[in-house]
Amino acid sequence: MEPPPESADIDFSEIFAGDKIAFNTQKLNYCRVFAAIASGCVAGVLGLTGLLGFFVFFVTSLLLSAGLYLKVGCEPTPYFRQSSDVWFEGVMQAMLSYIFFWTLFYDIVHVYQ
Amino acid sequence: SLRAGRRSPPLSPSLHPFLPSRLPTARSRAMGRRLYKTAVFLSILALFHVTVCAIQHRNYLKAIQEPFTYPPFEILIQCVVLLLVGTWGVLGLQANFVPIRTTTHLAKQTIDSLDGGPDFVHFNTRELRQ
Repeated sequence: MEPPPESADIDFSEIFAGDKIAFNTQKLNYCRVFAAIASGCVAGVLGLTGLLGFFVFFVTSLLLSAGLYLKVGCEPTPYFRQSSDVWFEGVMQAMLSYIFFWTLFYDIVHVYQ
Repeated sequence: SLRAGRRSPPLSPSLHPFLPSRLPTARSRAMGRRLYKTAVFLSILALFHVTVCAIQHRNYLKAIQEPFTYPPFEILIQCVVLLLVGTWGVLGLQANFVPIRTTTHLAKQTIDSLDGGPDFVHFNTRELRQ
């Protein structure tokens, strides 16, 4: 196998192990959903509404991505197909969990008295 | 030394101590896991506590008949701290990734493990049928 070219992020001559990709994706998704639930509860408790709530979600996801980047030793390439996956993969799937817990805790604290 | 395939560069261990990529021994791994589990547990406890505090604050505002504008400073600080501690704990517990490329494993194999060499091939392993 020839070494991958410097310009490409995905080299199609590499063989990926599918079960290991699934394992990494499962772990990443777990972290994203946990962070989304925690930040959703916090946003509900603080009484955030509207775009500010979504802004808090993206800030928290970015914080989690920075922590993941540190955790892989600032070299995401052995663990993900693209190096941008450690920053952006799984964020949108976790947004639904965020919205659910955000509305739940907002109702608990601010609406039902 | 003779090695089959391309020599892969060693994965550099992360230099900061608070989110290590690899914990050295099994014992330190177990102790580290307990620390992360405690962090996650404390953040969930702090979440319940901050919810109760916010409800009490709103009841107080309703009692003195003032509208709710922004939460008190202590609740805000506690929320930020619980987010940071919970994120750190879940990263330490769950973010243990494995390399996904098969070349990482295959590049470490030497020619000795792949082919023992014709010197060690032996025949005559069974009795001849009469």
